[in-house]
Amino acid sequence: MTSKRWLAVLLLIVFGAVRMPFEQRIEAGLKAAHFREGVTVPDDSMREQLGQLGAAAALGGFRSFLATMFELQATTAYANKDYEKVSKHYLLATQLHPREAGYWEMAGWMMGFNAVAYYLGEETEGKYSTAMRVNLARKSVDEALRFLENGLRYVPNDYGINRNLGNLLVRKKGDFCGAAEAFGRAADSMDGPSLAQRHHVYNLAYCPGQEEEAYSKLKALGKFFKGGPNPLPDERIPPAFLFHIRYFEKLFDIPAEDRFKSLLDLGALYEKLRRNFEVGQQYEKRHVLNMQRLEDVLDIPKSNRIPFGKKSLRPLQGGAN
Amino acid sequence: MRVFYFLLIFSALILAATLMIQNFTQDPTRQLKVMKDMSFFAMSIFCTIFAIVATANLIPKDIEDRTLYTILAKPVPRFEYLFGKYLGGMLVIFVSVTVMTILLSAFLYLRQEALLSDLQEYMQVAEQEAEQAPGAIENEGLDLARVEASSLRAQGPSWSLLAAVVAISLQAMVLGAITLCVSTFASSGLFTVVVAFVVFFVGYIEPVVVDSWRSSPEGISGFSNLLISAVGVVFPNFQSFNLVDGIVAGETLPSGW
Repeated sequence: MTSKRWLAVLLLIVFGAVRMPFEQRIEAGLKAAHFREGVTVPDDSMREQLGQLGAAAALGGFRSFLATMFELQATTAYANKDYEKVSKHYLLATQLHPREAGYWEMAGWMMGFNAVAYYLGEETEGKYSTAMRVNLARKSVDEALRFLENGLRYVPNDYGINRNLGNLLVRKKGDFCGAAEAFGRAADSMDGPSLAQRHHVYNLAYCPGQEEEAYSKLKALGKFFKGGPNPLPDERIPPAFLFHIRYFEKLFDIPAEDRFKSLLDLGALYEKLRRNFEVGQQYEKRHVLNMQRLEDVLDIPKSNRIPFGKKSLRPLQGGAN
Repeated sequence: MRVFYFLLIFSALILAATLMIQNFTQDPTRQLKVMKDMSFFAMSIFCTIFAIVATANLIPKDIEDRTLYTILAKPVPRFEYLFGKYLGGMLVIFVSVTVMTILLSAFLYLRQEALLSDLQEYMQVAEQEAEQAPGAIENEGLDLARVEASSLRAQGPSWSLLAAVVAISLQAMVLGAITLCVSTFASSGLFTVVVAFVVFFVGYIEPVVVDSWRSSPEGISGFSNLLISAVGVVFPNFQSFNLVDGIVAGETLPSGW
């Protein structure tokens, strides 16, 4: 090599040595700011699904674009009711772009509600046995939970993920404590009052061991309804709030003067709801518990109560509670 | 220059993405995200390919046309000639990226405004329903609309988008410089293009592979560490320019970048 070429090589090395610390500092900053989440060498199964070109593209700075493409494919699979593919495509989308909360949220919703409705609905009747349909639905719920819980590892305060998790836990698992936590996080992520806040309190009201906290939060909710410059008229007080607070007032033996003031007739509400309940029909656990709580509050004698049994619950309602 | 036809394709792509995505999702935030993803993808592809292919041909073309001999016969230092060629190529990228950014921002702004106005209408109806419905002072639709409105505002045109565009342009500048450097001693244009693409991919993949090795339970041996450092010295880390994924997801750019 001529001396000029040696000089060029030397310059390259010196420039590289000077450049490296700057690059390392930039990399550390980007990592700390979550810009590198999901940037990893794809494992065998992911490489197989992405293909060589896709894997190279994922490493080459096109993760967000690829994730979008997989989401579009998941949407197409959803239109074709192919939930196995929906799950597979969302898995890839979430792996490629884990800080994008929307993928986790949608994956949880698709698998936890749409897939379950499909497996337990009329379309699969006759196609699979009942036990198999319930099993497929249960697996979908577990998959949805995995999506949502993994999503929370990357975006813990996201409203959508927490809201979907809360809905899934209460409606498909009958897990009121877990749902209360999830709705609590969803409410915390919003400014001002929200429905998520109410869901948090209502689910807490069914969480064993949390009765005192639930009552204190119900009282705060009551202050919100009745306080301020524009207190709500009785007819606009949510009935669910009223029967929950009445239940705890009874449970803790609160004196009449300290109880929440409302002239709303829970008896009339009960009669109206009772007319819609049919023996032999299946209901979500929360609806059954709501009716039973209303009966407790109204002191309905045992002989007159709605005869709910184990068969009154829809599939997938047996949870932690 | 024919390269500017690409800008027409780019506009058509954003428009197509805008129209197509409405059939796939009703979620307004996702609609804007897809627009950004597709636009940045097109922008990155354009800048990368243009920076390599166009720059690789600058000197061979001057040699072929014999323009180079005429220029260097005059009192023009070689450095000035190379720098001028480089700046010419980068100017084309700069102008194209500027036009693409303006197009993207305009499309994004218009779509964002349309979606926000739809959302405002929806919120008014939801608020009225909440006021009229007994037992309801908030409703799920209102909650969702509030969250949606705030994420929609975050997904519109912003300074962070500009940072992503700057990163793409800087990456193209580094890539262009490397390509021009290789083309000064390469025997063919094809060789230059291949070398530049290899440098690009190594520069992108090497930091990820090294990270993955370092986090593996086995760790890296002393010799491998030396080898990695040698690769790091020769090849620039192109991952440092990869801001698009994070910015599209709404991350805040670190102050040091």
